[in-house]
Amino acid sequence: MSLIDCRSLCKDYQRGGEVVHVLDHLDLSIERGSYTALMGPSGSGKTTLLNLLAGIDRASSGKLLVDGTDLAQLDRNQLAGWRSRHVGYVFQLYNLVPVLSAYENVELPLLLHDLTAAERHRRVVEALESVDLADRHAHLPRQLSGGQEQRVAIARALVTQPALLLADEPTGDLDRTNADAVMDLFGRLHAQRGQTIVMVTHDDSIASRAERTVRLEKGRLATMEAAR
Amino acid sequence: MTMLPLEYSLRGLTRGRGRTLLALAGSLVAGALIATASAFLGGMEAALGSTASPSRVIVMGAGSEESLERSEIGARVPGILSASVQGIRRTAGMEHVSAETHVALPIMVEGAEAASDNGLVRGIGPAALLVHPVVRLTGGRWPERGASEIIAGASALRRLGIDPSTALGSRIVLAGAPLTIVGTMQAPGSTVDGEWWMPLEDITTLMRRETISCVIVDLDRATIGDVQAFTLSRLDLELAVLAERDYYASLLAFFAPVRVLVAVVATLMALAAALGGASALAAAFSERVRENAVLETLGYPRHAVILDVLLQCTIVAVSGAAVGGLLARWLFGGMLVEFSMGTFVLQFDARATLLAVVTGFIVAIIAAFLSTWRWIGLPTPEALRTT
Ligand SMILES: Nc1ncnc2c1ncn2[C@@H]1O[C@H](COP(=O)(O)OP(=O)(O)O)[C@@H](O)[C@H]1O
Ligand SMILES: [Mg+2]
Repeated sequence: MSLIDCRSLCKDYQRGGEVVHVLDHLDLSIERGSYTALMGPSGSGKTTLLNLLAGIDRASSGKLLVDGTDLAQLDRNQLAGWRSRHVGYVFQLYNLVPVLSAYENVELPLLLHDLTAAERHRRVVEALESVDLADRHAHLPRQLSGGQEQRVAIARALVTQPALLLADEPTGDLDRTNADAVMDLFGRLHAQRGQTIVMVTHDDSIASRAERTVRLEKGRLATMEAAR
Repeated sequence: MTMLPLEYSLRGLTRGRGRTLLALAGSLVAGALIATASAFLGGMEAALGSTASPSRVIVMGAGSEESLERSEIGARVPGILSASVQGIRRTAGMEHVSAETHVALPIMVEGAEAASDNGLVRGIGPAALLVHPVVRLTGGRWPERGASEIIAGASALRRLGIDPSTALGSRIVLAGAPLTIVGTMQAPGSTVDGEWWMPLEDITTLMRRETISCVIVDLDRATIGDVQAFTLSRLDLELAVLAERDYYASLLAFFAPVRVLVAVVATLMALAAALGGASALAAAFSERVRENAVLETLGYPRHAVILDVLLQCTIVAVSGAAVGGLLARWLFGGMLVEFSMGTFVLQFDARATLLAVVTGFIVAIIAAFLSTWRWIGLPTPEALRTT
């Protein structure tokens, strides 16, 4: 079974008196262990789709199964709990908590899990190591570069070992070097750990790092192409 | 229940330090205002209540139950009353029956330009201390009849600008008559502390009156019903009986408008300060709409985020308000307030402290509400899009 299964997924917004169909009967399957780039013009509904997959937003109609769970059946608190166990989310603008150190930011989602302090510590250390920031535990976000901040954010998304890593333009605010570092990291995660990744990007060269590219246009899938 | 670590909440307060301090100041002022208002009302209650005893009754002129100063009864009443009512308390052979005259008269230090304000003067006899056990003679002696002598409560002296410790021998002029202060008394927190006492006969002569104001009787086996029966059997004397407690309760009721005014004004001012503090906190938090949404994205339920905000608001507001209450106590504790019944002492008691702390909680709840309502109203995707 696919990790993600969208059937006839719709998301409508009321704007003025008009209904805007942001996602219009979208069908999409994403396999476990796959690496997908989600592309499309601005306003085509990429973030909206990612938010639906994360259970941050709700579909207007259609069916959405993620890791076997029908997200429409969960209430807001249940979705939060489900998310903490199944989804890691990486934002374009990092969104680290400014008063917490890199270590504490990464630890934050783990505090929701029933772990011993030792196990938690081990996982935080490991996550920071996997993003090459073993020497930046005590740094506050403002003491880090943009690239480092994004790597902390990735460590925070991965530390709970989620089945699904969602990233909304994770390199959109980074220079080439830092963007490449993040892409190398995603590539490693996918290749070595079989991490399922769905990543939104504008950039063709970034998208080319993924296994396949999904294009959204007018709320539907335009093409699906294998990059490699 | 899922919660964010307390330590993170504490650290959250260190950002926007200016706003945190502003909120602290707002709740400090609110706490101080409320504690002071409580101390004021408590002091007034105590002054009017500490004197009252369930066993004492006041016999006064029918129709003037609301004011002893207006009451007039015959000078023979005390004698007739003690002969007629059985079961009045006695100490060492003396009946607890105090014939008294209560008047407000212009009073001033001898040699002063003009009379300051009116002093509350009580004409008393030897039984007065028996029915006013809170009163203590702290210096000098009891005034002698016909010797132009008077004694005074500590706050009455202070009101005239006389230091109670050097008051003995000072001379004052009461309604034109020069008198010597031969004793000082203390009745802390009671209206007597603001009174002048002199022999009943002297005040009667001075005022050229033939009546007295009232008789205060301390009952032992007798009940207020017995005294009532006496007044009904002697309708010619035109007497009314009031339990001392009821008398002071009615005085307190008389001051109800003032008390309500104090409470309302203090509450409004505290509310203004509280809102100032709360909105400073809220401003600090409304910048965290996106951060709250991020926490929810990480898997924190909203109640955990709201609780975190509430906790931060509570820490600031309650500590501010509690410090405000303590500060008010330190600044105004023991302060004397004059009112028409004499003086009272501001009472910074447990109630004042508790009310200050409660004020802090209210500020915290308002602040938490103002801080989170924008976020609560926003769907997470939109909250994530805010900058
Ligand atoms: N809350 C909303 N109300 C109305 N329209 C919205 C709302 N959120 C998103 N949209 C619209 O949905 C469309 C898709 O938005 P989004 O998913 O953010 O696009 P993308 O990420 O592909 O740039 C846009 O046209 C946007 O204006
Ligand atoms: Mg987008």
